[in-house]
Amino acid sequence: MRNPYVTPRAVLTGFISVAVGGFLGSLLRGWLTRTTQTNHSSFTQGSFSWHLVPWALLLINAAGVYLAVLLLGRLFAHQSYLDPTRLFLITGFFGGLTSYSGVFVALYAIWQVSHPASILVGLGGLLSGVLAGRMALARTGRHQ
Amino acid sequence: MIGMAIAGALGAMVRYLLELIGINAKANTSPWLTLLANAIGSFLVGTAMHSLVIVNGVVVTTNELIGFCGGLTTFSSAFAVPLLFEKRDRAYGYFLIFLTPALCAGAFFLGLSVHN
Repeated sequence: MRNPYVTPRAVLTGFISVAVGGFLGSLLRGWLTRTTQTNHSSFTQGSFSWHLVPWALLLINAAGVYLAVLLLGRLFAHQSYLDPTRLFLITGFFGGLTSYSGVFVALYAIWQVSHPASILVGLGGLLSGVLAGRMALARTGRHQ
Repeated sequence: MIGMAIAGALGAMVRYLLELIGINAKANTSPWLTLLANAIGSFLVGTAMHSLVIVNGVVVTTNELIGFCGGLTTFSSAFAVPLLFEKRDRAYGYFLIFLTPALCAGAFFLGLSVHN
């Protein structure tokens, strides 16, 4: 049976929404992480430094989870996946703004100098995402 | 930076395509497809690590593939969607949240090994 929601028009509108949102989100992430990038002088010296931690990206990711939970739990609670505004914001913008692969690039740099530090930073990123999501969840009134 | 953003937009569009595959009768998609997009992006970024440029200790990631992977992978949806599962599915949601980085780390190391 054909899905009544998946029309060519809805799919095409979705593509445009995701492309524009993804472009803006990626651009903002690039700008935020580049302007806050610290000179990782310790990288070549072979020792761990707190400057290696991708603070900006971890903050962006946690903020992205917080806002995505709020939006999905409130504004888009009854909207389908193919809603253009939802696709623009959630799939496109926040999808482009936040990044799993970017975390691995940063963790790889830390891995070169300290395996335990890399694992700890990775766990910190994971837990900050859970914490941010739970804080937003409490504001949506869900799971009370 | 514009090139990376365009690559990011392309990555997000590929993730959207992947998520469209699993769309159900209520027009919602499966979180497993988001996990798949994250794993593919982590694998690809692992393969790109050999071309990582380090200038004066600064990790410079101007590679378009890294921009593409940034858009293909998502941190926000990987957490937000499972966290918003119904109360009875809460354990399943947390299972997905903690499974994602484990699988992505495996995919990243697999990607790394391509050039080693």
